[in-house]
Amino acid sequence: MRRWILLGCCLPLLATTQAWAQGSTSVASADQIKKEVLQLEQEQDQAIADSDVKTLDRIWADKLIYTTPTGELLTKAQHLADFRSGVRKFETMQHDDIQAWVYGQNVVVLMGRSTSTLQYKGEISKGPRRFTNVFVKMDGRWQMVSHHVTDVAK
Amino acid sequence: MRSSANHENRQFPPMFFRADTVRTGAYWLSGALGLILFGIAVSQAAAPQSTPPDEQVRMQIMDLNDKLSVAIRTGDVSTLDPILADNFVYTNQTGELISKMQMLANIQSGRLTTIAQRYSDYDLKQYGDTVVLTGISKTSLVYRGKPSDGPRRFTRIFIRRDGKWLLIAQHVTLVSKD
Repeated sequence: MRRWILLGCCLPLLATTQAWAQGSTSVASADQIKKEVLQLEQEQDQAIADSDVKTLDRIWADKLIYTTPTGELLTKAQHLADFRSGVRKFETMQHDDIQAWVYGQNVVVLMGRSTSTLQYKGEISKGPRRFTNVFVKMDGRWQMVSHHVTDVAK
Repeated sequence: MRSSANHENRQFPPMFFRADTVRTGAYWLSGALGLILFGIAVSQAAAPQSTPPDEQVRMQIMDLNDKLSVAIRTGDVSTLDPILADNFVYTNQTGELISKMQMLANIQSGRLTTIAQRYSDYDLKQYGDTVVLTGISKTSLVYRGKPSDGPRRFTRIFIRRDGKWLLIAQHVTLVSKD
């Protein structure tokens, strides 16, 4: 009997520990995951508009791969440096037609259209552009691992 | 003697203070702790981590990528179909969004024809069961009657489900010739 009491006490503890290790308290539904990632996307948009490097540093995975509309490949460090130095600066931020696909508990593909006005290396671009962002949940939080953007042909 | 008898007859109100109970409890507690540690290990193993790509995974992805490329070039829709996830979305170099059905239809109808394929500069990042593959394509193709030779930057996102890798998204950009 005492064994069962002990085991009964330990199983909830095990479940809690596992949840802690995974950084979540339960299995999230696809809608919940989508909501979380859409909120993070909005936070990212605001950080980009404000050149808030600290927030971007948190949202972007260390091995982020960022492909620009000219086909340039940037690392996280290069991209953060562009924002820090003002080489890349967003004058307006406008995203629409956002769609997200959830794969399991740890992967979300998010796509959308951007008509943001930005300055990059002295050139102004207004889009429209199509982008794909990929988010992966690591260490209990969502991080963007890939961003790829393409100008929409006129 | 009296005091010894008293000692032997003494009641132990809190049952956990009895020596045999402490031993049994310790035994079960250590078992439970082991179970918890095992649980943590399993959880950590299942959660994605940014690690250098596993060599076996790299080979699996590159093989699948080759298979995918050949199927696109030869118009082999039956090979392509199981590689693409049902919700696969492709953003092409003009910013057009293409679903799996549209992609297969484009290849089947000849709307998209690949003449020669050339890929280089591959880079692979693995996050558990997710892989981000980037590279340069100088493939010659005709889409809706318009020829294009690139070069293009592409990103392909693969996920592993039930031991099988699937392509869930692809995005392509023309590399500026400036």
